[in-house]
Amino acid sequence: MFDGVDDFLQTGNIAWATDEVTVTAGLRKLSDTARGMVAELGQFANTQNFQLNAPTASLGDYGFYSAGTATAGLGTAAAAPNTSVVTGQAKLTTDTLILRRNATQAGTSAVDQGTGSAYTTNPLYIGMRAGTSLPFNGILFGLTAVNAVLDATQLGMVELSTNFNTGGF
Amino acid sequence: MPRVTIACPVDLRADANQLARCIGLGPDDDQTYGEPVWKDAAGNAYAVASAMVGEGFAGAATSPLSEPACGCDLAAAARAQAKIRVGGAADPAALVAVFSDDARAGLSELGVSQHMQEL
Repeated sequence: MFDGVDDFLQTGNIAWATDEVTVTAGLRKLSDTARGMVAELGQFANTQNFQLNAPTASLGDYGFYSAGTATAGLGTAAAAPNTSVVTGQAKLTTDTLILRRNATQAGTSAVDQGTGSAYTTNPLYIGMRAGTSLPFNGILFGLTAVNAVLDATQLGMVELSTNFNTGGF
Repeated sequence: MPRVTIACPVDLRADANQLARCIGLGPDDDQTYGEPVWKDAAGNAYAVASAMVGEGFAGAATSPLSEPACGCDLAAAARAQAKIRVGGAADPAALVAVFSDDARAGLSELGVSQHMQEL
């Protein structure tokens, strides 16, 4: 449970080492009043990081962003309160960006993500940006972050297993 | 269990963290008030903390203080305790606590928000 004020978790430094990511979150979003950070690698946006938002600054949605030296983002509308399994996948060097909700593709983007051969070595922040801002207001039932773009079979297993604890679909 | 949401003015953070350590569960409670990223309408900055607390929290927070086993700066804690106010808008000269089961309602009563940031 993240209260939308000051709750967050922080891992130690993760040597991500690749330019690929798959992040799946099973969550219940309780509020759309302000942007919420579900998970973000590192403390700085726009510098070889990725982030899953609930909601984005547009509010009333979920969003996924990936950045090398430039940022690409996708959103999919879902007003709070809402329970979903949300997945973001990205690969920096091919400008790949995919957003899924409840095991269904919600959008793709080929917007330039700039340069960068790997995501940075940084902590993964869960529930806030860097533990200081953009607090997520909701319940996180499960979170999986992998340094690879999982294939359809692997991703299906992750989303299904996450959904067992979430009930999004 | 009630929920309390507290707005701590930037200049009160050190003292308020000692108060949190004094009446909290352990030494890590002196990290309660972090970066002052919340602002009121006038632009005053606050660190805001929100947590579920025991029924005796309000009494403990306003009773005479005693040093916990983990130690604390009692003088600083006492200075913060003297600035406690329950309910209403955030105040740059007070440690304002709002009791509400909904943290967002607490933020609304305090009248603080975070400004939009870059991606």
